[in-house]
Amino acid sequence: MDLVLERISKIFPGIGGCESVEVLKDFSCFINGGSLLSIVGPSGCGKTTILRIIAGLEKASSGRVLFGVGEAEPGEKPLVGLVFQDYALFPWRTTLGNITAGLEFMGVPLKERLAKGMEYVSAFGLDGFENRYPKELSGGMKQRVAIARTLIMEPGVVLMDEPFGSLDSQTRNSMQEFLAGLWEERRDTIIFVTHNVDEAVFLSDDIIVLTSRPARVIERVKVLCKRPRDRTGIECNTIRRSVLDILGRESSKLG
Amino acid sequence: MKPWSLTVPLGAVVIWQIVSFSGLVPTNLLPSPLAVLAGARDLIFVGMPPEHLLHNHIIYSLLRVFLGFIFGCIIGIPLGLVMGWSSKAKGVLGPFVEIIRPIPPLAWIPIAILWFGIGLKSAAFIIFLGVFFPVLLNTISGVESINPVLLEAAKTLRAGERDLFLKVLLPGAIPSIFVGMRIGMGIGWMTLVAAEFTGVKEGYGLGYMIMTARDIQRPDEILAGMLIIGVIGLMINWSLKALESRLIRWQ
Ligand SMILES: Nc1ncnc2c1ncn2[C@@H]1O[C@H](COP(=O)(O)OP(=O)(O)O)[C@@H](O)[C@H]1O
Ligand SMILES: [Mg+2]
Repeated sequence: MDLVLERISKIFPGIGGCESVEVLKDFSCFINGGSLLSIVGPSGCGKTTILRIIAGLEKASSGRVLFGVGEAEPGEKPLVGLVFQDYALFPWRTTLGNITAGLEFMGVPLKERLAKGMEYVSAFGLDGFENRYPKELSGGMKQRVAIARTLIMEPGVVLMDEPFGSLDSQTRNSMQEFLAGLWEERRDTIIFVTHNVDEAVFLSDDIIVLTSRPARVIERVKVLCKRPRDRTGIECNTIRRSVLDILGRESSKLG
Repeated sequence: MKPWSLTVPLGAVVIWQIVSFSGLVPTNLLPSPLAVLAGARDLIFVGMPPEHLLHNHIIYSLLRVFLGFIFGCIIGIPLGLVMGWSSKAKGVLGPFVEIIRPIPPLAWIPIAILWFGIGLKSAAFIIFLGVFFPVLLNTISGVESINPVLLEAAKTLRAGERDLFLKVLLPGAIPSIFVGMRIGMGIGWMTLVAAEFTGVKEGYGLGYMIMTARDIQRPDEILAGMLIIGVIGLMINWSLKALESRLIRWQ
């Protein structure tokens, strides 16, 4: 589903004598339905805040989030899925219990949600682990459970906040490949926050590079390399270079 | 349990028996272990007072504790969930709880008798007070210890208020609730015996039993009764622990 952020500002009021923090100022951006957009930018610039506003967990101080503008029936707020960096799995639920949690909250009958849950267990390579608790899973598995739990809801927009940030580089690469394959099949609308430029280039259709706080879009880069991508290929490298240059210029400005 | 964990208790019994044989301590103050064993036999088959057999005393005591415990939990847990969840509810109810809590449950005995009369209800009320506060406070801290990200995750998965309560707050607070239940049960079991010293109408209860044994000078039965009270307390704690480890395998 198309998504437009229109002149969004966010000011966190200072508490007890602290100065208030202006995290976003007139931030605007769009994403086409069925595409994968990455956001890269210095840490603390407001990436998480942007996702939280889209997900409705935080209120913008001003500005609008518009869903499905270019579509036949715009207006109604679709389901927005959010994948958290530290998984945020329910420790008291098994793999299957976590994956079907949202269906359960929505009142889907038991039989139906277990059947659908098991489909996702298989599709996410979690066969044999459906009755394990999160503490018994590896980091990569936990993140697959978290992504499955979100995607099973078939959300109109999927937000991912540095989902692979705490994985070792081996697992990270295989998760990127897994996500790329999954996305090619499903074509969800995904906004993917990362501080890893390689990851952004490997996964995205578009990359937006942000300034430090208050976040502004410095540049929007289109990644036209064909999929499946070769992460060390020439095309990817060229784009990686240009994104790194933009980030480098931004950080040297800060001195 | 390890084999050597019994060495100290067994050693104590042996020393106790030796001391009794030597005649250093008069047996009307400290009867020998064998005499206590005989006392236990009398409690089981003869009863104290006669006809009031041990198993009936146990049933009455457990009934009182069980009632007080159930009420302590069904009021303490939901209230704790609400107070842990909403700072407004905590602000309103917190001070009231803080004023009532330091009053020892036993200090409630006179007013409990006035309100409920002597009998099951007042004893159960005293136990309720012993159970309620630890359960309440541990439920509150259990809720407060839940990672707020889990609540946000649930919200993005379309959880309503009801789901947040029953499927996030409650399971998240369960480990802490169990700590409260075990502390509460311990306090309840202690207050039970004291409550039965004063407020029993039915003529049954372990506290009542050992007080009666004192009235008619049966120290062997007093000691046997004390040991039985201890063992039952231990078994209650064990069963709560067993239930706990079944319910929170995920931890
Ligand atoms: N609830 C809040 N109250 C006050 N300041 C906040 C709050 N949440 C985030 N911030 C501030 O907003 C800035 C951006 O945070 P965040 O969106 O998490 O950055 P990023 O995800 O890009 O690292 C940070 O400087 C942070 O201190
Ligand atoms: Mg962040």
